[in-house]
Amino acid sequence: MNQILQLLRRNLYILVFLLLEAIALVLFFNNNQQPSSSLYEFGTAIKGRFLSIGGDVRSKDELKAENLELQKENAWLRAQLETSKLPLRHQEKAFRTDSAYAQRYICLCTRIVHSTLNLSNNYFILDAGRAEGVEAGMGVISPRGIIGIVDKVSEHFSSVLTVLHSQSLVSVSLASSGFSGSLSWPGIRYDEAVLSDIPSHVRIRIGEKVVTSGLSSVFPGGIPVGYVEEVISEPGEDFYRLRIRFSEDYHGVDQVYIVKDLYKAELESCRQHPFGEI
Amino acid sequence: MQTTSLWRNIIRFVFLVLLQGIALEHISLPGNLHWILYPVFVVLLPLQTPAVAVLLASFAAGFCVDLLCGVPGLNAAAATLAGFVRIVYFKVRPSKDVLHDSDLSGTPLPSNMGWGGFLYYSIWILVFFHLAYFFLEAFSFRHFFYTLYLVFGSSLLCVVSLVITVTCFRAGGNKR
Repeated sequence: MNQILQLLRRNLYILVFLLLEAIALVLFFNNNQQPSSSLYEFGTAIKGRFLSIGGDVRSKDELKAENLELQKENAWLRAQLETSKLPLRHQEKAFRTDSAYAQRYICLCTRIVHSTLNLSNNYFILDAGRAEGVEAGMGVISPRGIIGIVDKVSEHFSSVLTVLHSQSLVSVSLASSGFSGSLSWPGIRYDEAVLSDIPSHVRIRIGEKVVTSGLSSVFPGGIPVGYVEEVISEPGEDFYRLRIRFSEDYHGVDQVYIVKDLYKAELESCRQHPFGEI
Repeated sequence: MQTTSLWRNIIRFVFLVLLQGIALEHISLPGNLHWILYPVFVVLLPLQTPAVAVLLASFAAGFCVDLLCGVPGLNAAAATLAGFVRIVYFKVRPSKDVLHDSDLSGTPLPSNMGWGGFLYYSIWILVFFHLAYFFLEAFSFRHFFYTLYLVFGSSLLCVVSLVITVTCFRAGGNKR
């Protein structure tokens, strides 16, 4: 008995190691797909305090560029105001509306409080949550591109499954021809993605613009995503794979917009009962 | 002596964890390397620290970094492994064989292990930490060689930072 106890005591560290490692791995696998919001809230609260003490170390130049971008965006938004529009019957096309009179998408302005870029599954945390009307499944865009889809929402924060995630799949289309395919991220470089399922009879220019297709209710159509950088055709394949360079620099992005589709519920009920009563 | 050493390690713990969570985690380096410095805490724990305490301390360090920045459990798992490697290292090579002087109460440092011994010791711990970290993070062997490159690149960065830090504190005449 004594010997067993002694043996146990001598090898206690192995048991402790296995126990701690098990705890860590359970934590890891339970949260791998979706980082827990409560942990993040706690983490961001601490970090926010320290950052406010230390002050924002962003350089002045970067702020200037960002301000310019925001000014441009504000100008564009101002142009969308009712007062700056002609009566709708004179307009050929109303932006982001599904009929000539109704608004379909609205944007909520928010900031990224935490981001990762060098993991194989990257998440951003935004400082808007349930209190601001954010729901899981909403799209997130930035002035120059798309960011991802809201994944988990807490009271004041939300986590975004970015396009830089191994499971991210976004429906996009070529701006000139309108052919659509799905955009995924192969990993490694945060400025590149892969667009697959483009039929091989389509003529593709290098540098051609890629935009969101608008086929889902996550993103409005026509939001810039990136540019075609290389066409990869495998012999015997009917579809091209395109290497895409993102138009957004995810390293510097700070201000983003959460897109809300006002018709989402209606659209979804339509999808669920395609032949029955809605 | 005992209490100063304890406090020194607590301060080192807090400093390294905060440095990692608030600053280093947000620096993107060329080549996608990660600058992970806090495992240095595990390397520099006092020699006579009990094995279970080493494990608990490394788990705590990893867990705190997870809270500040990232995927929960990832750093905790890697840091616990680093602590385990440290224990196994001293089981295989008992500290009285590694050390030049017979003072077992101090911190593992080049001054008492020699530069060769110290580097050998820290490289073991740091490489195992980075192996666990990157392979768990990628959780596939899809980009096996790329992940290996990340492991060794980032380990090298960490070892260089450790050497610079240790040299600077030595030069200051401060026995940390």
